[in-house]
Amino acid sequence: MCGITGWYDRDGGLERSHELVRQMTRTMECRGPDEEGMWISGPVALGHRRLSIIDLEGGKQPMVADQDGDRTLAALTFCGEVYNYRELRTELVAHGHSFRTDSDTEVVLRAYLQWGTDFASRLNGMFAIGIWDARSQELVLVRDRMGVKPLHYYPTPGGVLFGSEPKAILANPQARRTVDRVGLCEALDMVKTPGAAVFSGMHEVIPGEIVRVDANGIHRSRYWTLEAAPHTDTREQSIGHVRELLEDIVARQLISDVPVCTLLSGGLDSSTITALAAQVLEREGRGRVNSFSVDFRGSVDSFEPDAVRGAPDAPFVRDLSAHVGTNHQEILLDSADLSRPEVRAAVLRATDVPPAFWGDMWPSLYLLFRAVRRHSTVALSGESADELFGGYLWFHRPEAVDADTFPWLTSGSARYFGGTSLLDGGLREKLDIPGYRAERYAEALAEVPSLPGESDTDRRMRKVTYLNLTRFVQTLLDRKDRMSMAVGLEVRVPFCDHRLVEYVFNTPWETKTFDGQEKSLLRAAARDLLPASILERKKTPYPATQDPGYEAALRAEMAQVLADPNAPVLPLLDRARLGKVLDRSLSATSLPYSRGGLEMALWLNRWLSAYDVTLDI
Amino acid sequence: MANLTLAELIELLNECNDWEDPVEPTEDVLDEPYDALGYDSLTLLNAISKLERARGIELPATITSEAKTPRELLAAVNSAPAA
Repeated sequence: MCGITGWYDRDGGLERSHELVRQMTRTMECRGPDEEGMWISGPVALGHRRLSIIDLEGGKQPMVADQDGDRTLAALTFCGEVYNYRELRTELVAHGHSFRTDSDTEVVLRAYLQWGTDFASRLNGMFAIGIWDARSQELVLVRDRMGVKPLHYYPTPGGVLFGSEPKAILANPQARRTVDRVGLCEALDMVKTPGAAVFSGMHEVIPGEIVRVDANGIHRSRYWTLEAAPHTDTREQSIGHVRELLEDIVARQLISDVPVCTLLSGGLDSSTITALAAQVLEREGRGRVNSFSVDFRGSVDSFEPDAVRGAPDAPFVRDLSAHVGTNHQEILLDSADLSRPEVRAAVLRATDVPPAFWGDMWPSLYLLFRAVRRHSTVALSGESADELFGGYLWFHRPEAVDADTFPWLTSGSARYFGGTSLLDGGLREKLDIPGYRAERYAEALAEVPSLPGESDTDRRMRKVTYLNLTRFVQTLLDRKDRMSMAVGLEVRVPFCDHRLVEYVFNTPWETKTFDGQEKSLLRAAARDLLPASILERKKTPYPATQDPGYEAALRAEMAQVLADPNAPVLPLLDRARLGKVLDRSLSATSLPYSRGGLEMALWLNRWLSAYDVTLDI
Repeated sequence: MANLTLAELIELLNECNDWEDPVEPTEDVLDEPYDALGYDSLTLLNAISKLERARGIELPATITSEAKTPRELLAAVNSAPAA
């Protein structure tokens, strides 16, 4: 796993910009602490920072393929994992390719030489790829189907800059640090438009997209989209096929030359992954699975249920760990950890944009990953199961399913994810977030595929699932990627395997809900693996702290901001409303959605200062 | 368990909505939709979750679309079977 960057300029001569390319590459050091590489030739420069996972010696990058030892065919900078690289390698050998290393990187490079841009649809995995094709003199950027790995680009007068994260691009002075109305709406509202980046002029390669850049400009095409297809399997067959796929996926994703673990919350998704991983490791004689969970000091005793979280994770984590026989470690955090200035700064440095929607789940995930990294380099995690199998409440509430907006942005859930409550009225009027959201929703709806003759229920639920898999999940995948890569931990996400996604996306809603609980299909597929307590547990999200001490720390930071007349966020805030919030007495339980406005105001202040952002609204 | 009263329901909703001015529990609000009273779905779901725990009942996920006013929710809560 790694960080990549690069630059294409049709006028050439990038050798003269060696130092600048090094600076761009160095911004990716957190993603790839082990090694650094650069390759520059005329119109193209590629940079790479590596976290070594497979073939520790052979997988160095950028990797170059040449003919007869002199003529360069292609050069590659690659971030990610290709889980079917062994099969592809066998196939490529049959096509006459010879390999110098055991790495998946070389398989990716050779696959491109063999199949051209069609190679992307043969890869199973998570990846962001930059390839310079010396034969056609074009730069090819490719991103995995679900958007697990990030890939940003920024068109310039002479070509393009690209990087895993915005910071690699921003290290080049050709990229401006301006944010306009659209960018700020994207940062603040949970619309997560595919391809949108917050900085003006910057884009993301859309999941499943190929971006080619040559002397004539930028050419975009999709190699994969989520499509509607008939589902003819019975319920029993569907359960069996999901199980079969999950076993194959988890076995593939456990391939690693460095220590692997699982992230466990005691919910259905992570418990299923952990139980399957335990089976594979036992079969392969690799010992017990190591599992990790996160919790807050004292939370089990003081836990206060709400509509979103009915029970703390810890007892369920213990049940699963005992049932499966994992080596489990609980990472305990407290409010002082979450609010420590260096932790807040590290979170922002990883995201490059204000960390929105998830409140304390940003620093807690960062701290969990930092602790896991002391023991493991690779972790398997349950992201995307709720989007795919229908775990969230908004799959089950008719008002959300039929709302004229994203199902997670009806009034109550918009408040849950919201961070705009303390913004100045004039600014809110200029941003017109409701108007922006409506436009993005109309665009999203127009993309939703349908199957002729499907029932009204399946059509509506296909819409909800599509929106979740193309928008909502990206906010989680981004958080997971940035927080894990910031500490050099590779997190793999079995539920994002495109074969599983394609299959379950097309499975009728009745088959996903037949047992009267959310995610029936997944529960049935994992039934024999899990204890009753976990099979019966209601969906509960990643934990958020309820400690009023955390809210007190946010208020204290806000008091410091208010005391600084030059604090850049001040002109953006509704001071009267902020005053009211700060004057309220702290309640015994602090709920994350009561802190969202405060969190965002503080992040905006840090971001505007640290990134020297010019707002153009 | 004794039937839930309008005053108790509104007090609970106000408690779950405590950054807004409280609603007065008069008979006038019985048939007002929740959004007109300033309660969003998160407030409503939190109140329902508290009621379920306190009274040992279970309401369906569709409750918020079926019971759009305090009168309808009172009826649903007071006739709900034990969980």
